[in-house]
Amino acid sequence: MSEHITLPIGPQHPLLKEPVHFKFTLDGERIVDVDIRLGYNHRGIEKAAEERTYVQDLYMIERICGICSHVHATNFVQATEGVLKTEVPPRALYLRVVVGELERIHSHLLWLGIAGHEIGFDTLFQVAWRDREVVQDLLELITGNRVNYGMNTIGGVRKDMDPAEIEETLKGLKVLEERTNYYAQVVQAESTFIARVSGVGPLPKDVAIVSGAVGPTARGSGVDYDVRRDLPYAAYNEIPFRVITSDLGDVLGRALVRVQETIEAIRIIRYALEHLPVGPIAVRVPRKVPVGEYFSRYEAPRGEAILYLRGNGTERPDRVKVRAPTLANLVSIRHTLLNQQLADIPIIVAAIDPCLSCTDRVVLLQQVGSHEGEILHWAEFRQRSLAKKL
Amino acid sequence: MSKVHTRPGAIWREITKNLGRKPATRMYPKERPFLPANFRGRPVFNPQGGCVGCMLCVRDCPSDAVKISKIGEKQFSCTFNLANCIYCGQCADSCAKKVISMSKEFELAAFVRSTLTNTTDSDPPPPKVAETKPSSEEVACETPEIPETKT
Amino acid sequence: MNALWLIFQALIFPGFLFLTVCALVLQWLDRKLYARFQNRVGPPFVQPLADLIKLFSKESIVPKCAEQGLFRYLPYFSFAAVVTSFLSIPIYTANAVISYPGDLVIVAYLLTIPTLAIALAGWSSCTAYSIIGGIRTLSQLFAYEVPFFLALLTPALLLGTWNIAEISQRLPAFLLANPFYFLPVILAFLVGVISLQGKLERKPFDIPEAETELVAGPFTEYSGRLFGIFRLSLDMEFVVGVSLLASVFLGGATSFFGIPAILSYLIKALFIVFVLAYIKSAVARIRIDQMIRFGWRVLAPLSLLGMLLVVIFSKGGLL
Repeated sequence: MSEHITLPIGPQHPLLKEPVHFKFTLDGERIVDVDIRLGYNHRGIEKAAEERTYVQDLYMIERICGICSHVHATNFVQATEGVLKTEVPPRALYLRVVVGELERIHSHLLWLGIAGHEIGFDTLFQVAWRDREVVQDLLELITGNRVNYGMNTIGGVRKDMDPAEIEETLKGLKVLEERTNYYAQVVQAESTFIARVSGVGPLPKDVAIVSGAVGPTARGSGVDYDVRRDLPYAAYNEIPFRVITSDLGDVLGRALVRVQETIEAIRIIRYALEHLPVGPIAVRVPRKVPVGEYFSRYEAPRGEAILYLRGNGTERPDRVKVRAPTLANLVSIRHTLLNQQLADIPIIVAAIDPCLSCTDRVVLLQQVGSHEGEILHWAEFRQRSLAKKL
Repeated sequence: MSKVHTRPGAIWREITKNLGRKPATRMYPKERPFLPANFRGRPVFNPQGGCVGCMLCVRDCPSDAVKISKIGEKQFSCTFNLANCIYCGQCADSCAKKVISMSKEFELAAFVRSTLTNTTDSDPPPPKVAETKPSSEEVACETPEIPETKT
Repeated sequence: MNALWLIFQALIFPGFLFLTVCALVLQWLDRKLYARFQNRVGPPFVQPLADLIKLFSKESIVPKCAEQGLFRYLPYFSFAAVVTSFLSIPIYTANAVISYPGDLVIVAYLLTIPTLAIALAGWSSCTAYSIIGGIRTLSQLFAYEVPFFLALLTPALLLGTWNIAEISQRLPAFLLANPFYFLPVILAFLVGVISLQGKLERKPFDIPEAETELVAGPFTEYSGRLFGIFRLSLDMEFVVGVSLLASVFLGGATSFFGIPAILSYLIKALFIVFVLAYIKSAVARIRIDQMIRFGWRVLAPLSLLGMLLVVIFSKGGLL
């Protein structure tokens, strides 16, 4: 009998609700090796985007992720507007910030609940999600839907906020601020929580930089980088805010960064609503996008999301490339898992706030020595899948 | 972040309060949800709206859920396939005559697939009273015959 | 007649049937309280029964590579041990059905059998999750069992008897007469409640079946009737554990202020359930190494301190 146990986790496992496969090699309860497999839920969105018009793409790209749908949609409209060289009205930029930051609150509260659940703190999970309903209701009030808000359109936003909605939002923010402060206090005071996250999943600053970690994962290790400040988009260059970092470099650091960012997001929304410029919310844009390319970056709740777009003068983009923050953070996950306890797997994996469906890639397996991949056309591909079935 | 004194059960205040609270759960079928004004439910076609058959909705629909077909002189039939619809509301936005709108109807699950497709015919145009000059906007959207998008 | 009466007691009241009902009701109460602490609605009253019926009506799947005999019979072992132990705890009168000198130790030992059965079940199901769960169950056993025993023995040492019924009858009066002894008994009660939480594998000690890591721990491969029996025996263990604490520390079914014995027992049992549910909802699950450290560095010394106080007070001539 070998000393090492191989423990498969995923693609179906209560640890993650999304399909990813981890193969752990355990020495007792200690992790000695880990292998990560992606590709269970590849949806081919980038290719599909090339076959649709820009307006159609917007809604499809919004559906890359359920939680950060505004992220990808904003990235897409920013890229399209960049190629078109459209001047977006300032009110629209502020409204994008408002929805984006509400989404950040929603995502971080959701994460806090998930983190609680992963370490068996179900009460935190339930109450954090209960209070997340407040921000969900606000998003529904402003945009019309709880998820996949459909707020963006190329050249601006689709829905304006009237004074009643602004007042309602400010009222909701007050509740959220009080609740978030309470959670910030609870997670720092609860000794069983601290015992499970402090010193767990260490990610030193240099490793975080080398492995290309982004967002709260990097900021929890003291990497002072935030796209909102360093390469401002939308209206962030006009809004003062702090970039939260923590030098702890463990799961606790990542948790504290997220909780503090939630409080910061509330301040950003307040500022944006108080300084909401007057004017139109959208401009008309031509349907055909000229030849050109644009690289849009967005600080998603999980980290920096990137979208590259190339126009070719038609109604359809020539190429759309999306890099979701989870893909960047997955590299660092191996380092954080090594030499940790089996019991810490869930919280370490959850600490990067993984969103696998956004990040899924196809792996092309090649014969050793061959230099070409096999290219299958649709009909051939379909034929093969049918042949397999028989 | 100041050092906080840690103890087990730091959330005690919240759980003690919760015991006296009414559960936060909304008992859905009995308790109706609040739907905001912007809510995007089942798209509806207004037969009196005067659809001009510009096909902008068909062209912009991301999921191929809306069909417009001509059934008579200035009379069009609109079919929504709710199984395809993603409720983005782009058809309502694109519609030049604002004939399509998003209703607040959201309980659309069905056992039979065919019930998910519904067709509304627009009313026949009213008899001509006087020659009215169409507005520039109408001219812009009366672009007939857009080549069918490849699906 | 006497034999018939004994069979009635063993099978109907306060034996098997009553215990089953109690187990289901307490499970519901525990879940409901847990839900209300979290501001949820919680399950309807019939939910535990419905779950049980569902499990019993489903097929039990036994993995091919599992230890066939062990896998099938372990649930029944655990079940039988728990049902037997319940008979020694006084429920509706101040006396238990089967009462003999030293039954406290026997009950404590019988309550260990479900844990061993779970650990073996984990071992015999031959999948990584259940094996790790089984190992964790056993490691955890060593951390809470000693404090639990020591806590139970504090009142026994105090009163010089190992009989549960006798302890429950004499302890309240004894404490009121000698209030100094409240300190060691309260200490032992606290240790008892916390280690019971570990014994029942509830938060923060639900380490063996930590769902986010080990799916269902030792039970991962169990299904249908076999799983139903296991679940029922665990629910019964909950009842027995709670009743044991109520009897040993709170006077059990001894009537006070003219309250009937069974009511007196129920009030105390419900109080302990409330405390257990409160602990369950207030904390996060800790790791196995932390649990063992906690068991040996905090719980065991505390329970030893309780016993030491008893010895000092009684033998040292302080009182």
